[in-house]
Amino acid sequence: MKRLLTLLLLSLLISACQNQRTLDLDTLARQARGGDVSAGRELVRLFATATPEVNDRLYRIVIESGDAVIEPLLENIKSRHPEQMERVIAALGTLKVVRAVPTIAEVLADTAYKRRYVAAWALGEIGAPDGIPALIRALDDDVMQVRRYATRSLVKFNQGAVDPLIAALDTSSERSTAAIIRALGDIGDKRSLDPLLRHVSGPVRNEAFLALGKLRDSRAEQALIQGLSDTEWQVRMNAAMALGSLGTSLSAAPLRLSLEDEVMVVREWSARSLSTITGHAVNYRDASGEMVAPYTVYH
Amino acid sequence: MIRMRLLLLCLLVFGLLPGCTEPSNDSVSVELGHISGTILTPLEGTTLNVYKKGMDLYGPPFTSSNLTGEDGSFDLALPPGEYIAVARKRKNGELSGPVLAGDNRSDFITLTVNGDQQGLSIIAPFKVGDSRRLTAEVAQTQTGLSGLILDSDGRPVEGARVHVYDHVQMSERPKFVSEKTAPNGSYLIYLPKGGTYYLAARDKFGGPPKLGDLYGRYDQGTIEPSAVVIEDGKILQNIDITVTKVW
Repeated sequence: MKRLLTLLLLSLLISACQNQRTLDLDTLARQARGGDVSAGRELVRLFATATPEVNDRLYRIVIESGDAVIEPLLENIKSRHPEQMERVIAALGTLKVVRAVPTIAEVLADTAYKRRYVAAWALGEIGAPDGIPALIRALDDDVMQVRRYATRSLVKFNQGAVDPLIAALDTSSERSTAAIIRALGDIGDKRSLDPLLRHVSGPVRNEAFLALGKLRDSRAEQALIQGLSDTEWQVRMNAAMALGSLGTSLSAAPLRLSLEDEVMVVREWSARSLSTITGHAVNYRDASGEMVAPYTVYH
Repeated sequence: MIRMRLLLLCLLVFGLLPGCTEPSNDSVSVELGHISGTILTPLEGTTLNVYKKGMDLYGPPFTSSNLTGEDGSFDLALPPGEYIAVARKRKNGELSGPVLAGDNRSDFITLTVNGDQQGLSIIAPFKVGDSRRLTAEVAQTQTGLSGLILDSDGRPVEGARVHVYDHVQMSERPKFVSEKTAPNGSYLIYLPKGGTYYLAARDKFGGPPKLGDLYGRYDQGTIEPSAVVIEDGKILQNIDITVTKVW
């Protein structure tokens, strides 16, 4: 009994001191910055158990720690703790660790992991071409947030993503076709013109018109002019919007007709684009019937 | 003898435990200056927000005083340097967020702190009119939007705000800001009129989003945000925005 009590007291003393040591972040940070991998491992381990406030501080320390945290991060990409996994993948993205790409790509495809958006984000930050196929597959993910981050990451690859994106259009679903078109529009490479023009009359024509506007290639002008008379007002609005960036004098007359569109926002965007093309202020009829100038959307 | 040993052990354990506690990071080696004084209107429940020069004066301050007491007095220790101070009191009792019509705020006051004691008398009159940020008080327009703010697990986020911009870059101050979201993550923001708007949601107010903040833009992954078209006299529903950590 006495021995048991003694042991209990000693364990209390030891565990108390050990617990405190794990919370000495300043010392751990110093050690990790000095290249101590065991300190780096301890920092990464704490991602699984720390409170959100401490975790925010931990994250800053980890991304400032350099090489000492790389191996521990790689070891924990598939942690069983969702929070730790999210932070580990985010840190690997921020630190641009190319070796992490294959495993992060696996996480991106794992629909059981709800926070897989971070895998899409990290692949874009790392920027290794090996990540592109996984990102293109993620454009058909059921979760909007994952598709958003995958699109944005592919845009970051810039011209390096154009050919794989165009190739993916041959087999893509309607949902991923729309996302591919958005990415191609933001990248703005001339190679995308013909593939985009093939979608100006399909179910994703709304996206195609916006993307063509971003390409600023006047060869798309005729297709956009036709879009001004589409049956859907969102398509007419996007066509009017896109003509502002690439339209020539050819577009002026059709846009003037669109100033009489039944939907106010189509009239508004027609006036805005007409002003850009002609260089003259153009008013439109607002909801109350008053003729007003469109406000400046682009500051 | 055994009891004696146990007693010694206990003393050792409980004597050592405090030594294992986390070291304090509060040590300050510079000599602090003090600013103190009185906020004249309103007297009670106001904070003095202090910014370093160059900081966003509408974002989180460098430091703030405690709430003033009944006599409006405050006392704040600051390292030597150049600062800009402003007193604010919000009707809703919050310490951050937009200053709306009916709240109190002073002019911006430039301060130089040299490690000495300075006295200030500050006037913080009611703010009259607010054309930039309209939320519940323009409910009569019946124009606006509503939806949910969700996190990356799809759970509702409480205490976030929707920021509404009328220009696509979303780089300046928002034109309108919602009240904080309810525990179920829902928001409803009224706008004076319909038009094309651009949206973001975040848990902090003021300045660009920083590492660790919750932030989400209403878009589909494109460089520019998605345009949200709102018709006059209609509340556009189900405009849900997901916020994630800024990494």
